[in-house]
Amino acid sequence: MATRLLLRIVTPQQPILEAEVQEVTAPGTLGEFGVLPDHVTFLSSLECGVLRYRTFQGEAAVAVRGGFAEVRANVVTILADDAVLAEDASPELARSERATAEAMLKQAPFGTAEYHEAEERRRWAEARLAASRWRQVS
Amino acid sequence: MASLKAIRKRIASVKNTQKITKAMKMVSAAKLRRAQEAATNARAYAEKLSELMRQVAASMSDTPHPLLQRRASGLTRVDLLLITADRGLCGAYNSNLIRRAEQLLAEHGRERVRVTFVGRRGFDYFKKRGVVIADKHINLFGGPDLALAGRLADHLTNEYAEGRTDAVFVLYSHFRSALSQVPTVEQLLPIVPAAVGAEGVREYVTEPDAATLLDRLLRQYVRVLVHRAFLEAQASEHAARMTAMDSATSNAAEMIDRLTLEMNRARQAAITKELMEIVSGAEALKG
Repeated sequence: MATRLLLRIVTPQQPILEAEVQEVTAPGTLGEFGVLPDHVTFLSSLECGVLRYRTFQGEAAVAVRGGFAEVRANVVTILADDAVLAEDASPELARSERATAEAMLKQAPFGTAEYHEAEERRRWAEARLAASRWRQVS
Repeated sequence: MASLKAIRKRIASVKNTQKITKAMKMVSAAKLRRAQEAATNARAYAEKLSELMRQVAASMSDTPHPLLQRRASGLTRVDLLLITADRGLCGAYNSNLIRRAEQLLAEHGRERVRVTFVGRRGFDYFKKRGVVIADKHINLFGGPDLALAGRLADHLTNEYAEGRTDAVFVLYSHFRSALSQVPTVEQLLPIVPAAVGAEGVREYVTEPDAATLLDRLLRQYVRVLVHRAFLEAQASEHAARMTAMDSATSNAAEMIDRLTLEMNRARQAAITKELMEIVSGAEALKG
């Protein structure tokens, strides 16, 4: 029986995090999923959202911008398009980006590429905002 | 022999040029270091993603994904993504890439190839040479980035998936070392996944189903390939410029040495001539 997991978060730009954790909760495409030690070999795509993990010290959060998660042999690898640790997420920046994205959403006709891009940006701003709030709670 | 004053002027001007080339060399060295770092940082993601893509593709090998299938009827339309620099003064960097692109155009037939340009140098060369231009991204301050790689990759993937192109290649300069950069052609689409090696095919529980997941993995894989090509190209460009500016600096030093020698000779000759005049003047007075 393993009691801990290795959590690795990498983005195309750089590795973001590598930590020993007890539990990971990630925003999967079909809904949030939790991973505990000795999880089955698992592969999922991710949506924009907040990933949380629990260590012996406490809980922490990371905003992730879509991607993939692999769980295998007690290693959780998150391949995110982008990721920002809760302590690095600036709520002011996220708020202003959300406002820009919302302005774009109003102008872009529904269903177009611009619309989807604006929607994606809005979700990414929301995720960072949620992650930054999470930091204040803990 | 050139006049003393003219030689002095030449030396001053060569010295100025040398200052510029030296500064450019140092700037390129710093940028090269940063580019290499970016390439190293990107490696972990790329390796893991291609491993997952390989695994899922292998587990689904009985129903191959459209992006993995070659066109049975041969290639009637080919897309090329050509990555050159925006600026010159980097030795043979751009011309090597252009030469390789010409080869590729000849191989596939010039009229069949559509070219997407990243970097002004490639575009400037080909714009008046009768190639089909699909798109151009020039004057990129700070070089091509991840967002551009994503947009280009998505567009090309859609072109392939919807049957508007039969193969997509990327031509970029592979960074082998600071002294050697090799123009390299890589096939983006159809995707050729490496065989699953010793690790064996793993059984994953997937979410959503494996087909949907594979589609996302493949699209992301193309993005990663383009991004990596960008990173390699940037490291190569800075390395090429650094080498070019280094040799320009030492050429300037050599020229300064030669001109200084010439200047000393001219000065010596002037002094000798003056002395001769004085001596012969004195001789004449003695009478």
